[in-house]
Amino acid sequence: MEALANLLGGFKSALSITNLFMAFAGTLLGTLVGVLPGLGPTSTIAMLMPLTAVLSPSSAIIMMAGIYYGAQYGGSTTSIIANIPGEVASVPTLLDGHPLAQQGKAGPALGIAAIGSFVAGTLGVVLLTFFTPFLADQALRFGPPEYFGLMLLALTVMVSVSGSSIIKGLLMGAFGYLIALTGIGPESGLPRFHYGFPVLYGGIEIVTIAIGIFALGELFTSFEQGREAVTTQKIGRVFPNAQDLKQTFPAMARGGIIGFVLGLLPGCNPAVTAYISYDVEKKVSRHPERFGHGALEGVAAPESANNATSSAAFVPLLALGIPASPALAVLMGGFMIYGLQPGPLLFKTNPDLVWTIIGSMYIGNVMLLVLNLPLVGLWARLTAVPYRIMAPIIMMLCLVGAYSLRNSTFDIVMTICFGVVGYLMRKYDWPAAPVVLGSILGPILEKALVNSLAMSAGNPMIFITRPICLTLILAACALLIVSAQYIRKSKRSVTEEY
Amino acid sequence: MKVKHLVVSLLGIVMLVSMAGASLAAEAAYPTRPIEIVCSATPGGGNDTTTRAMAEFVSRRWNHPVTVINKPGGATVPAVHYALKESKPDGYTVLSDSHICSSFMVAAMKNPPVKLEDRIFLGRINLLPVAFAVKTDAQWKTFKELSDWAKANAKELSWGTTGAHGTSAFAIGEWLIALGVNPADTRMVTGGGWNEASVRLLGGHILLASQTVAEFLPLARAGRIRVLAVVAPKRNPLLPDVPTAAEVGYPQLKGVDWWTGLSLPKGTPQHIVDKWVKVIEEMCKDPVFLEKSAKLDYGVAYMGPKELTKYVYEQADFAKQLAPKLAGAKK
Repeated sequence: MEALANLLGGFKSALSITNLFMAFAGTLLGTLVGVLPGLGPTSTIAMLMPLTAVLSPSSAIIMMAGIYYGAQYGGSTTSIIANIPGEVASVPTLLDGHPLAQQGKAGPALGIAAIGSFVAGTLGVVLLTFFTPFLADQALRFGPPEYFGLMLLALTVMVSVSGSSIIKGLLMGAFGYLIALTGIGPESGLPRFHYGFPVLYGGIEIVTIAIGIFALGELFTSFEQGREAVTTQKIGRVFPNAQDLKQTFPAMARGGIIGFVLGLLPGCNPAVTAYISYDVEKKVSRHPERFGHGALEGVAAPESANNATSSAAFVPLLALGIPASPALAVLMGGFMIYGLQPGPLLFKTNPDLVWTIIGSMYIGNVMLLVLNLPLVGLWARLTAVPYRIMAPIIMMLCLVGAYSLRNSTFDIVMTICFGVVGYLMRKYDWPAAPVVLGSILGPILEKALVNSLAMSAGNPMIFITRPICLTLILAACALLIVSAQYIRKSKRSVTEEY
Repeated sequence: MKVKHLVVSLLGIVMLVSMAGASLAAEAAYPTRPIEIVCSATPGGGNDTTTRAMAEFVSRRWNHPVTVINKPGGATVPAVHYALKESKPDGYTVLSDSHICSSFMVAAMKNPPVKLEDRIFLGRINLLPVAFAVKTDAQWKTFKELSDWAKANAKELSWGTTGAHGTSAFAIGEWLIALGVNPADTRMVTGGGWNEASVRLLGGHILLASQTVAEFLPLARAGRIRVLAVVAPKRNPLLPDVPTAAEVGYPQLKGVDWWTGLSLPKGTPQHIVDKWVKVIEEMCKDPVFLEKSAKLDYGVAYMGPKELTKYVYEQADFAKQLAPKLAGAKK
């Protein structure tokens, strides 16, 4: 109850005119940078840092936090309307979001994404309000072996994003991992597969794979097929109706919880949580075959997971002073400019500030919903704009987005190469989602394995003697069996149908 | 004919003079386009934060756009190569230099793509010493207790580092070698950033972490970790209660310095180099810059180009001696 009283105090100061305006400015800016692929909240917050010289601490931090969680809202827009994943975490969203747009249903998809973001974002803030110190300590129990178990569990997702053929899916996953092997190795600290090119020491940026294979691949395919626009269907209603909401609400709640729990772990990539929540929805659905062809739940779950993850990341920041991502590290710098040290003492030394920020996050989430829903109609109409106008814009967004990741022209070249790869994969029916999944999970899995064995001086028993790790590994095995049976069942139903 | 000669030579002189004038004008005209400072770290880390503070100062002082671009990853190779080898030596691309970009790189790699000789060191700006810390409820209360235990139980000692050639790997490696322990016998756990090692220390997944005093500060102030010693000639004002390694009986430890500075590629015109050297010197005396650095816990410790060059070469020799004996070297 103490938390509730504190929160009310926080609301009081968060509702002052200045702070309301700051929350609005932050969330608006966040939405904009979220929509543009590549340009993320990190550089935006860093660029706005000099503003701290004129603003009060609470105003500045409210605005920066708004940019951070606002960017998660915008991420789904380009994924749904143009198949451009602005960051890797948006890949699961486009698996169903873009097919919906092609059916003329971009509006409901975008609407559900916005509402899901709101539901999960708010859920995340509620959990953050009441359980921060407790959760931060629980998350610490996750060491390298536990991450290894978790990544094994995540690998089972490969089965459900493989499409028609598991073999093809696994091969593509391995291909993704091979690409991700380029760069500095985790234990030796020495470069691999650089062929003497210094630029390859930095490895291949996963977002270039995602943008290339999904966005450019799609664009090249549509040129070949001579498609006129993303959709030639009549654009019906732009807002989701009550039926859509009823259908997707459980997915939002599940996605939100999964996203929050996994978001507490600093080493867990938001893309992993998005993929896992997508997989969970497909597994619990009565009609899993709809996934990949425009299931609204397939949009709701990963978008909710994304946003809950961004709220959860505040837990280690506020409770321990540990930023889980570069964007939060910049935000932490914002605290420090004012002489405030995020960490266990912040709740004691500056409770007003902390609660004002938490209060503003509730308000910010409402603002984001109000801000995003009216835009849905506008975005949805873009899907009917002819390709002769849209294609150059999509192309430019992809290449500028790829460049802005690391300010590297090499990334532009890679994106175009992956565009060709993506086009060929589409043409010969190879699934694309496993490539990205393999390139995300592979390096984390490798690092977790190497680190676990370093902890135990090479003894593999470490995976069995630690209860959380063992549970995760057993769960992964169980899921694999479930998936195998599900494949058998769906194969049978396919044979029965034809 | 003579008149013609005269005209030609006069024309020649005019041309020469105007060329000289033009080159003088060009000298005076730097900078005319936006300048970029290349940062080898992701936004948010210590290296990035300090680089942004530098860019802000220079931009204000010269009243000219100076932007920071981040090229993270790849053990700083892509950033350093871009700034020093791929860019023209015209003063418009400046490297935010550090121990990782310079001495560690040449020590860790057999054939580093960028060498120390490829750059002109302009000046050091920040310096932080590295400290050793354990969890608050760990059995070791002093640096000596930890050292004695490590000597007897080398195979049990697990410690965290950002990478096999990261700051911690060198700092802990030096300490272990001084104790007579082979670092390869201990358990080195590598991880992404400093925050990962902190998380692992708090969760009890590793026993020891070695990071800069600034990185330890929040957890130390909150009583979650115990900082046993700082490896530096004198105590650090951020953690004044923590003794130096020399104070507690390990004067042989030189320690690893975390530093940042600025560098330009070899071949940059002298007047541009001079301009940067001057502005860095001014920066390290500027009260606004100093205040900001103090708030961010990044100690300003100016060093001019000559001393810095000497210092980096010494650091590189030290790192080169250590590198083959480090934990990552055996594999």
